[in-house]
Amino acid sequence: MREVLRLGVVLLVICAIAGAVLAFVDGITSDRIAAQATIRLQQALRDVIPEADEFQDETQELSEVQFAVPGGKPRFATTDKMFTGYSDGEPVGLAVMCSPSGYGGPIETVVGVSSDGKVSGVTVVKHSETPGLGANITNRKFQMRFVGIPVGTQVKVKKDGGEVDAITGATISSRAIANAVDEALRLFEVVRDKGAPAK
Amino acid sequence: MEGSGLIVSSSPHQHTTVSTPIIMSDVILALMPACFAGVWFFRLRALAMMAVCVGSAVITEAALQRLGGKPITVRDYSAAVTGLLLALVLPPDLPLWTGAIGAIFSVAIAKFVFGGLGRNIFNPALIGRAFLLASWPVFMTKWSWPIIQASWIPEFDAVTTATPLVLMKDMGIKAPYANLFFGQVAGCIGETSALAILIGAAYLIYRGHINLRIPLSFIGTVAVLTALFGQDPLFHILAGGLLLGAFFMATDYVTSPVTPKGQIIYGVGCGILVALIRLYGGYPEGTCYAILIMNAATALIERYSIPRKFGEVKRVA
Amino acid sequence: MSFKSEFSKGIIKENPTFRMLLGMCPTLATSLAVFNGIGMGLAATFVLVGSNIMISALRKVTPEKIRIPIFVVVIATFVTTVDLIMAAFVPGLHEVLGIFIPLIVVNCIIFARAEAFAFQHGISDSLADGLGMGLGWTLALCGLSAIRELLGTGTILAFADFGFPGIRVFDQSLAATMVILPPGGFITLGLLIGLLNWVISRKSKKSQNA
Repeated sequence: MREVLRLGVVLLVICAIAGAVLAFVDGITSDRIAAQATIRLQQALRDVIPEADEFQDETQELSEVQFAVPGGKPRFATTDKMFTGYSDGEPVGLAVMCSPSGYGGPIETVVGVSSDGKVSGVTVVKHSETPGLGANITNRKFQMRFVGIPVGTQVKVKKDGGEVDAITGATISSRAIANAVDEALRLFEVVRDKGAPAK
Repeated sequence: MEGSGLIVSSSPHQHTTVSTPIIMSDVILALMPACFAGVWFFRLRALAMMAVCVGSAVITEAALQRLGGKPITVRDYSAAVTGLLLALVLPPDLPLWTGAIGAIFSVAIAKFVFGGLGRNIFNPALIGRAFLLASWPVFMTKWSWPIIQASWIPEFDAVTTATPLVLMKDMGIKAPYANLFFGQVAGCIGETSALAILIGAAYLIYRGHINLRIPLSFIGTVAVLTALFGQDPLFHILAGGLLLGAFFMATDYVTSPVTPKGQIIYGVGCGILVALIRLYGGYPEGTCYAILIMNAATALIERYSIPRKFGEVKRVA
Repeated sequence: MSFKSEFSKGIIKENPTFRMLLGMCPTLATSLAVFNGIGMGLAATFVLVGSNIMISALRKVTPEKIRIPIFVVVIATFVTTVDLIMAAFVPGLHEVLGIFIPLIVVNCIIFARAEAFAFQHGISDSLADGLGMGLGWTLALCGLSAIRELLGTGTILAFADFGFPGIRVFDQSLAATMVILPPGGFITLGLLIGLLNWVISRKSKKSQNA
């Protein structure tokens, strides 16, 4: 009995010290870690709507337009978040965060649609596509293929009867990005018709 | 057995008069029709690819054996066969240096690392192809139409060339049987002409080097499964690398089972995998992977398919 | 054994990757680019040195029966520290290395050194052992990832956190993608181990003949 107590006390002391050390480390790093996520999000948003200097989270709106029929199929199944970009207090575009599924899992994509109803930018935040093939979706040249596509277009890769050139050997990854852009344009349309600030 | 002075070692058993060089040179002879078809359809590029692959394979084998202080056995032609088979399953437009790397990989990694001829688990030529496909997928999926133009070739997209299986999978276009049979389709150097492969296969069977268990169970399974899933079985037999794979790759002595029952199991397994990959997989063609996967299962299949000895009674559990 | 020999044994003679084949999983997974390898190696070195010193210092007060839980607590503390610090200051690298930073906690190298060395040796020897083993692993990761990054992507020394895309040696389309995929990791590692064994056996043969 005494032995068990002794072991318990030794372990307790060591754990307590470890806990204290970790609390201290967390104290110095937590603010920075939290800030990193925001910085990255802001960076991605600014990438897709370069004109905007301020972004407002409109994800609340998303849930309102998500269903055409209450209880029906969600219309924007892969969209996670949306933001309105403002320049000097005037709305200049809508940034949509989607995660369509690619070859190696969901691809976190941000698509920007400017107020005149054209794609203003596409960027990939996080993905696990095959290096050298699908990973080329992070390539600026590929992302630029979507810029300028107007609202009302069915965005598809050529293989599916659309207009966009897929990356050679990476149809599935290219298709995912095309789906994201397509969804963003449809969402833009719905939000515009509803008279949200993105108008 | 004990005390009788006779020791029966485990397989493979080698017959005295049929030696490795004879088998290998017969295989090369049997591959000649496919080679001629390749050169006929894809011209000098095909010939250059064969030369590069055979050369690299032979040089690699000799160099490694010399480095490892082992007897140099390139005269048994097995390295040449590996190189030639590899060339036949590569697209004709592939850069030649890529073919050379594939052949070096085949011999060095798939064969030499495992201990040389007879000890490799996987078919070296197919490992070479799998390696190239994983490494340079863009080069490995770029096709060109054979020199001889055929009228069926779809006009809507003249720039993109695709193998019959890709056309089938992505667009539902079926190449005519005659073109598939004679080889006027896009594809790897040696796999487009079913006729040439069948002539070679007939020679191998005539010489007694292969039996029909593996090829027939392999091809038959693909036919049955594709028919069951509502596709044209004859198209699936003629298109892609199935015939070449079934007769020349799946029957490789070293990497396929030696027991008769085992050979049937192995062939059926290959067939199921090819059908699954073609119908539901991400790739349009699956012969290469199907055979490699079944290569891995060969030892297990042999263990469970050893024929009963004469007079042996099945043990009641 | 002197400080110097305890330190140097981890570099080649008892190199954790090439000679003892410890910690293979993170070795294969994180050796995609030189800076990933260095980052991973240094993170593990920090944990290894820290845990070696702590465990060596505590070895007199650590009861034999509960030494394993104590090792786990000590190692986990250092790992979490590294994890948080990297997330705060090199987020790009932290993201790439992902799960493998927290997984240092079950890295065999660290546990093996704690149990086999630090628990039986003094603080300065344990420090030397931790440094040597850590640097040996870092060097192995560097070598492996240099080959894989160069052959697999055609660039070298890419470092996302500094926005540096790397030096392009040859065009991406010529790069052998498989080398940065898992099978390429196994094959490259196998070839490197083979090469090292070959060199060492030749050396020892020569010295025997001499």
